[in-house]
Amino acid sequence: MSESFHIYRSGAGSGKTYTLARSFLLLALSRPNAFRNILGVTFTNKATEEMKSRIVSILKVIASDEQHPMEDYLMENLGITRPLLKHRAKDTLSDVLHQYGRFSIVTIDSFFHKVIRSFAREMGLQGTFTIDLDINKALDLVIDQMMLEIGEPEQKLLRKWLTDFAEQKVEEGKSWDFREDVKSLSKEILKDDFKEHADEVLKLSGDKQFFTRMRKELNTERYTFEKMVVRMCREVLNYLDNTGLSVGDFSRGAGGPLGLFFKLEKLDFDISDARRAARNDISKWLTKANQKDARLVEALESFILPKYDALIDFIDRKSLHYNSVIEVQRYFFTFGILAQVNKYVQKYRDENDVMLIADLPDFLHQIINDSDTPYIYEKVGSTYSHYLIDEFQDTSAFQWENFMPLVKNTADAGDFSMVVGDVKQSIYRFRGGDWELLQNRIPQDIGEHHVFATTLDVNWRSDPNIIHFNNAFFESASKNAAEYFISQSDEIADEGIRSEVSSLVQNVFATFDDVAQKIPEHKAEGHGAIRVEFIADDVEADSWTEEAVARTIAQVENLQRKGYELRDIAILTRYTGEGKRIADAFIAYRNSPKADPDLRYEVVSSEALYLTSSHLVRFLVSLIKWLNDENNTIVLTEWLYEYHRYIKKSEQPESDLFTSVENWESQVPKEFEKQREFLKSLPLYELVEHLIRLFDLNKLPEEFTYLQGFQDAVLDYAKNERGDIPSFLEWWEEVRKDRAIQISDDNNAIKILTIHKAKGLEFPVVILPFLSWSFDHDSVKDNILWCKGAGTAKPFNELPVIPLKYVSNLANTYWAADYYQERLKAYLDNLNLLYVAFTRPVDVLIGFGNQPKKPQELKYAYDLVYNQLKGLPGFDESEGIYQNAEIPQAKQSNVGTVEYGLQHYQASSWRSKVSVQIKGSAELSETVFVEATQHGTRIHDMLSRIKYKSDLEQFADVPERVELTRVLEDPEVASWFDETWEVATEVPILLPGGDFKRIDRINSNASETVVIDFKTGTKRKKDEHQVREYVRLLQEMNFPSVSGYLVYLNDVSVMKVS
Amino acid sequence: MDRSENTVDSFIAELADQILSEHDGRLQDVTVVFPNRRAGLFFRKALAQQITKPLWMPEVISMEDFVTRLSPLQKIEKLEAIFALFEVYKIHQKREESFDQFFFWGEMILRDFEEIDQYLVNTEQLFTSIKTQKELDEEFYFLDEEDKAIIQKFWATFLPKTTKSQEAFLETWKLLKPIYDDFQAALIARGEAYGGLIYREVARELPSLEVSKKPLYFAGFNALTFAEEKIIKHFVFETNAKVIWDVDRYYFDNEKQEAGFFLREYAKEQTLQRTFPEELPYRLKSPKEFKATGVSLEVGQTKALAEELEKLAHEPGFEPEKTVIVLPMEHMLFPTLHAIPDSIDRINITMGYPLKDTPVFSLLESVLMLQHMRRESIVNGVSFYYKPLVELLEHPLVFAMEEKAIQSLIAEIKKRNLITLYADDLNLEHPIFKHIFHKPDDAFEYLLGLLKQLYDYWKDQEHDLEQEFISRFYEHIAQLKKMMGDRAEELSYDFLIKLFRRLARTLKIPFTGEPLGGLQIMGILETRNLDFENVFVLNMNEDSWPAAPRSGSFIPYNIRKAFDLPVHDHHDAIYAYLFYRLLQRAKRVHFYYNTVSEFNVNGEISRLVQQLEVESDYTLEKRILASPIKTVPPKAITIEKTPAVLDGLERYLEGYQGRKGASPSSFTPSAINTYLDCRLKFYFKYVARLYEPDAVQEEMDPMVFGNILHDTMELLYKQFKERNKTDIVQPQDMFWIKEGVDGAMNQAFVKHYGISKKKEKKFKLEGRSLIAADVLKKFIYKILDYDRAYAPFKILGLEATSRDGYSLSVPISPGGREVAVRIRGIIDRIDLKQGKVRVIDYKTGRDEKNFKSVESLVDRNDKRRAKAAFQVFFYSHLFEKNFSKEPYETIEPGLFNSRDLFSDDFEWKLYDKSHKTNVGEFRRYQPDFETVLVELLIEMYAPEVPFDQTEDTKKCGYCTYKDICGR
Ligand code: SF4
Repeated sequence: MSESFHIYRSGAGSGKTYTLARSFLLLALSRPNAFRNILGVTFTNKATEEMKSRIVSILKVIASDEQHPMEDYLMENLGITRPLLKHRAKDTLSDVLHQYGRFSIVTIDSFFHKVIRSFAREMGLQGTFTIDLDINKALDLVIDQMMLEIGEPEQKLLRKWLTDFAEQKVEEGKSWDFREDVKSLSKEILKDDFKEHADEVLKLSGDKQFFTRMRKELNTERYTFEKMVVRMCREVLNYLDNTGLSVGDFSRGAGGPLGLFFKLEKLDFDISDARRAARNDISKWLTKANQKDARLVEALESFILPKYDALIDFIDRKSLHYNSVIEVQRYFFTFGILAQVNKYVQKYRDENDVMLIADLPDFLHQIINDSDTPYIYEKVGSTYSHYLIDEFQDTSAFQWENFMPLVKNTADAGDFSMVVGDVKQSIYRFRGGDWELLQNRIPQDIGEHHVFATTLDVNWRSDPNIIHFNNAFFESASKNAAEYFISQSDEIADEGIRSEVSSLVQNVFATFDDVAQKIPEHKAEGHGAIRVEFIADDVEADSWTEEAVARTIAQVENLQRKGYELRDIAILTRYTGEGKRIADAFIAYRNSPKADPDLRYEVVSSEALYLTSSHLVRFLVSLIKWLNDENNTIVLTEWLYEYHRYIKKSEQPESDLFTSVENWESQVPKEFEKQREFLKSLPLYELVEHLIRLFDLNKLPEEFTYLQGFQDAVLDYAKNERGDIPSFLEWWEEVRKDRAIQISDDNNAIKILTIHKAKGLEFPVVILPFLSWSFDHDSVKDNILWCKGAGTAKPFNELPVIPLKYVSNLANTYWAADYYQERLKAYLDNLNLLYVAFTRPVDVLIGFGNQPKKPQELKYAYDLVYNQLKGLPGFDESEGIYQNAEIPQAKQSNVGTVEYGLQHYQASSWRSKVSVQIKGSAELSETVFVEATQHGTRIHDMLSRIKYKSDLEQFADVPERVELTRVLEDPEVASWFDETWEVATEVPILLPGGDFKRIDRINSNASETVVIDFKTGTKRKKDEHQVREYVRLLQEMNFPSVSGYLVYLNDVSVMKVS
Repeated sequence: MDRSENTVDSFIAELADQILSEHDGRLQDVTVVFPNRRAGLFFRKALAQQITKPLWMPEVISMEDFVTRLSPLQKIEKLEAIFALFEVYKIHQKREESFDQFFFWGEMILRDFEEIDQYLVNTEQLFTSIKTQKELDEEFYFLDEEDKAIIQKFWATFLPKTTKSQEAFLETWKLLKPIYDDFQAALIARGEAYGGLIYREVARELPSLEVSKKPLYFAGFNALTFAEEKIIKHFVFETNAKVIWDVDRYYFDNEKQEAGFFLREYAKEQTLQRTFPEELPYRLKSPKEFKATGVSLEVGQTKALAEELEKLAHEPGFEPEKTVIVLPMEHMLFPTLHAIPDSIDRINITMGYPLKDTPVFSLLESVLMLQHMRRESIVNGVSFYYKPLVELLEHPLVFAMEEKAIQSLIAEIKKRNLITLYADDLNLEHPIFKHIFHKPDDAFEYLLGLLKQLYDYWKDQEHDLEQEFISRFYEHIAQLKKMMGDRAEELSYDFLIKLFRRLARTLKIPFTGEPLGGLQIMGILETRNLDFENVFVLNMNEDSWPAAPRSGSFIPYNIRKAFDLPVHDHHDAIYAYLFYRLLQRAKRVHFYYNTVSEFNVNGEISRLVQQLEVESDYTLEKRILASPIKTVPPKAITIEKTPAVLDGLERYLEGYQGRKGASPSSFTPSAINTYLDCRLKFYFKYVARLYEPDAVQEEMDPMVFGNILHDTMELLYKQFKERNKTDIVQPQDMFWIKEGVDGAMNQAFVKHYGISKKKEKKFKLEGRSLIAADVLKKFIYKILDYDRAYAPFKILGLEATSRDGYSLSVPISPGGREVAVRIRGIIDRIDLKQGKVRVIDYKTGRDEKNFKSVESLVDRNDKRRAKAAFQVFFYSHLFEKNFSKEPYETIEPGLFNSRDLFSDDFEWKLYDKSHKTNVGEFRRYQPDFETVLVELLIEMYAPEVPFDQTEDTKKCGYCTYKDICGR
């Protein structure tokens, strides 16, 4: 039995990618061209490039005289000597570089894409289909279209759904306008959860009657219950009225047990423990004063208490069902809306020949399920015997199902394949990543007997102090979280659900069982530091986050004083918005007097340095907006203000700047004023270049990168879309909030990025300014759970799946287990996030959180962090600061490729150097273009192919024959077509210096030379000149006695030129 | 023979030199065949530099022309070929398939046929398919063992049983052979052929070809198709034609170098062998400078290039014509052009100005979009969607035709929020509009007609460029139309448009310039045979150089391989050759490449650069462009109350007379709320009065939503009053009032959008407004329900304004000056029941009914300031001041919040949080209110308090002025 399939489970920094590269090389060096049969799969394009260049660079080292640490391993496992290894590496390196197309390290999507393309015809796809990456744009269009048609009679039901949606929003106090919400809701249809059930949903949604009935039924169920409760309450309240008892007669009045009737009458079903306790305990109803009141006791005993008991009993029995009704109703309309959106999306796909990137797995599924693996390889054109898959914890179930047959095939053949991943670093569940595959499922799928699992448990990345810290921290943190959940699940009434949940908890947090990592032998103990500060709310700054930002800056200053370069520092945030906030703070600080002139504060970020923060970009956009609509005085003010204040750097007070808006002409370069109309007719990209030049925008070196980024955005737009101003502006409105400058990693500046983006990266220093993300889902966002209807109760069991909003009330429904499962997974996602963040640093980790108020509730990341740090030796409770060691001095950091900045930003005008060729045409008509011009050239062409009369034969069938015959039979012309001549047509003559002539016909013999030029137009003086020159040229070339003729073909007139 | 001196530094010049000397300057019998036409131009130039008197040029011809000339067949255009192919396809394909659907596959089949012919593949053998093991074993006897194994592997997957997708594959596969045969036969019968077929026919007919023995040269070839190879070999063998290779030992000697792949093959081949010289040059050893600059994305590459060019231009002895900029990506043309420094004034561009970037194209696009979204109804005729319509009208090419009328039309569309526009209502004079707005029968006719009118308009003006663009489009569409002939009728409008778009995207107009002098800008393929001293290459990334492999084929990879059809290794080898060849004679080579994979731009540096780096002895200087990033944050904006600024506030004062552009005015609560939110915003809006022209709000924004609610309520009660001639509403009246909701709401919309009487009938709600209306209706019913419960009551005012007396002058003395500020309000509703007055506002947003204290209503630092409460207090104040004579028992401000309407404990009264009670009598709060109001107005006019920005940036979120503030 071959253990050909390896699973590498690994912690952070344990050399996942190293292992993958090593496996690749081991296979690739085993025999010539073996690399062609390996498919490496990475998670992102960037990772793909990095893996490729990593493999190439290792090969480079091995092939050279130097020695690479991997060599011993390779020699041993290949069973070869070093010289042989070096030789093979050299060969393989050049094979890889010269057959680069066969060097297959790809993303999952691009691999799938390739497969689908090669099956397009078989799948009935339009061959031209493109993959639409911009799902937002597609959804925008689709939803617009859908909304436009809302008034059509056949869309009545949709209209009803949408109205439900809008009402729901208004009732929640939001704006009625649900466009954005429909859009975000629509993204559901792209998710695996929906797709799994899409067919059923579609089938159901087509059935109008079904829905009408279902709605009604739900309503009835709801109101029957509510009415019943209200009736039972009123009965008691009426009874009180009738018997003359008042609320005050009872213990604690409306706040006491009796109050329950009032509460329930208003349909508030929350029954407190105290009230439950009063069920059969009359003493809880009576005050000291009226304990003996017989009338009261009688009323209670004979009427109120039994009713009270019955009511609670009734509610307890029914509330599960009732709550389920409420929750199903809440998002019931999404059924209808999603089904409609789905239909429209389908239409969009067909009309536009596109496939959404989310469709890929679906299509692939059909292909793969239907075909044998070898055939797929045949169609794709490459055969893979080895699959090396990285970041496996982020693979989705759909994706894996498509890979599985292929991978299993190689495993069955005994060929090595592997996956590597870390469940603890699974943070892409929102994109479909399913860590359970790695945790539990692959061995079953591949076949246990093939599988060999290894845990990579040495952390090569971080310093010992950090490894120790994390080992202890995450072990206790995961325990802490598990205990918390277990205690929470105690509240679940239903026995079955409770035990289901508690086993879920065990399973989920088991992912942290192997969290402890080893320290490599060569690393000295005692290096590395962690510092976490908990900031109380009563700080001087506006808020603790404000303070966290300030302290982050202070830490960056400290670090620099310890010798760290800015490029050593990364600031990681949970959300991109937080990154922007930090970036802005650094920029503002640098420009403030507080900044230390000896230190640097530059930040880079592809997520935080938005183009819109550049004055040049803002100026340009406003100016373009204004060119599009000169009546808009706001944008006029915008660009004028930007121009004066930031481009011309004027010091004038604002009041002056804003009052002189009307006479803008006098304030801008004259050329601009003059060229305004011309500018508007330019292609977009050119327009921007012209504006840059006219306004001297290329004189601000500090903004070059932004300007460049903006021009890239414009170019990107213009090359894909129409290059006109209005549509560009519309597009810009959409993208402006996400368009950031792109910078290379080598820049010597602090990197700001999200934790998600930081996965797989390492930095000497990591700062986490806001350890404040919430562990549960954000309640404002719509998270939809697709739950099963089967196995519940009528009428839900008629629904195969039900979309439910993730709200805490779900815990009181049939779907409590689904709710808890989602909740647990959400917690795990966020715990993983913490793990990813804490394991990025090599030397130093610094974090900031709020001083927790209720850490036991584990609501926010800092709660959990606080719980684990509390009581540790390095924790100073009064200061709220934990630190385990002195921040070490910086190690020598290696500098990457040479960097340089632009000295000058060119924006020249090319029109003075070249222009477009003007052919011109006096008149437009189809015949002018198609007939007339062609006729002339045709005749000309034919004449050039007739050297002698006999050649006319070939044109026997063409309409021009008549004309040709007429020419050839002309008495003057006829003799030139005698066989006695030596004839050359279309004779090219080159003059020294490069001038060039083409002579229609030269007849020559030993003593005489005749030059002939055919003309289709009318006679012109120019023609004679031309022929005269031909004559001169031939004379110069020593042709004997040269004469020249012009032949006008229209009337066949011949003219000798002298 | 006389020849001028010239340093030989290029392949072409060497060739010219060789040919001149081999024929002693008598070249009229000589023919030189190049891979493409362009090399001929340079060849001519090289010759011209070497002669001193006129020369009868040798015939210089491209391979394609050379071959075509050898054949009697007429070459047909691709589109025509696809049509012809479709005719044949239809016969064989059982399934119904329209031309639209076929088109792409047609292109693919044609491409496959081209290759099959170019590579002289036996189609009988190629299109074999097998059903049994026996067939599998026996069928491919004609192949050598290796190829046989490859192909058997393919077909083996079909055994023992075929899967569904294999069935689908076979379905097409089996058609290909009969289609190929019939297609070929049909064309040849007509004397026509597509390119590949001509090659195949020529190659086949070679033995019977009469060839002249005149001197013939084939120069600069690399990857030959089998047909080409056969033809060349024939001439070498029969006429002793010469073949001149441009080759370097660097890639020729090393078997791994794909660049030398083809040439090595030829050097081994019997006939061609002798065309290779004894010793090959080794130029990729001579000193050269290599630099590679990494830049994020694309534009920066051109800017970095510009700096190098500038330096270069100032080097002594710089000759622009010895410099080339290679653009693997066409879209880099404009960025590159703008990067040529002024010190270089002569350039030549081989690539052509893309017509898709001209305004004419964007106009055509808009027109097509307009028609695409056209709708029709029996009653109202053709109608258009406003977006493409406005885009079209704003287009400079048509805007100029009727500026005034268009401007007002657009203004109307925006103001009235017209989403659907009926063709009948678009009254523009110029006849072109009639054409644009009619419903076309024939897409091409339509476009041609449009272009003609455009042309006629613009030809009178001095717009030669526009004219040129227009006529080029005209020409191409006319040609397309001609080619399509009657067939166009069978094709859908949408398909024709697609076809046109595709065509238009590839159209180019040549540039003038210095074809043979000046700095050269060209694509990769154009560099064939040419040499330059300085070479600059942009986009030196994977998928760019080498270019991304072309799209699909019906013939699976392994079958292609077995039959020696080109696979992507060929493609890569060709690009590698072009790369190294261009470096051979160059002295300085700079690459620019993208470093980030974003926005569909490949960020992986080209393998070719990597090869060079690893294998050659050259050092490649690598660097990264990273300009410092130091933008400054937006500065605070503070408007000091200078006299000019203060002057802008005069119009709100009592006694102000009005002057040009500034009529008297007064403050509403929303002005004051704005002032409280942000003083600067107040300044922009009420003092500087910066407005945005209307924009079509396709859907109702929240404000409109509220307005419709107000107006509908007003109408309902107004109509009631008129109908019943009374101010008193009784519970039983509500039935009839409710009946009127639909009508009133419709009227409210009509009024809101300013729909004229004439068009009122056509008016109907669309899109999201429909839903909004549905939701609103529910609100209105709910309000009416509450009203019924409250009735009987008397209506005192509906949308009551200053006309009804709801205004006031508030005397203040800012900075010692005695003035009175005018304030006013529009009160949604005032009613009276048993001495109790209610001053009511309807709200559809998130408004708060709760407030802490009167002071808090004007506390700008209070993040949850109850603006709506302030507003109804303000109204109550106006009411009390103007109508206090009557003995009202109480005056109660209140809000109908839509959010609360459906809750069971709906309450319209405000809630005073500090006293923990609902607000009953306003007059209890009035003194305090008046004080804070006056203080506020004083501050507004106080010269020492500037208009500055709010500190709470949340307020900036939806502010119209946020781009000025940079918030
Ligand atoms: S953007 Fe903000 S600061 Fe500027 S005017 Fe608007 S609200 Fe005031």
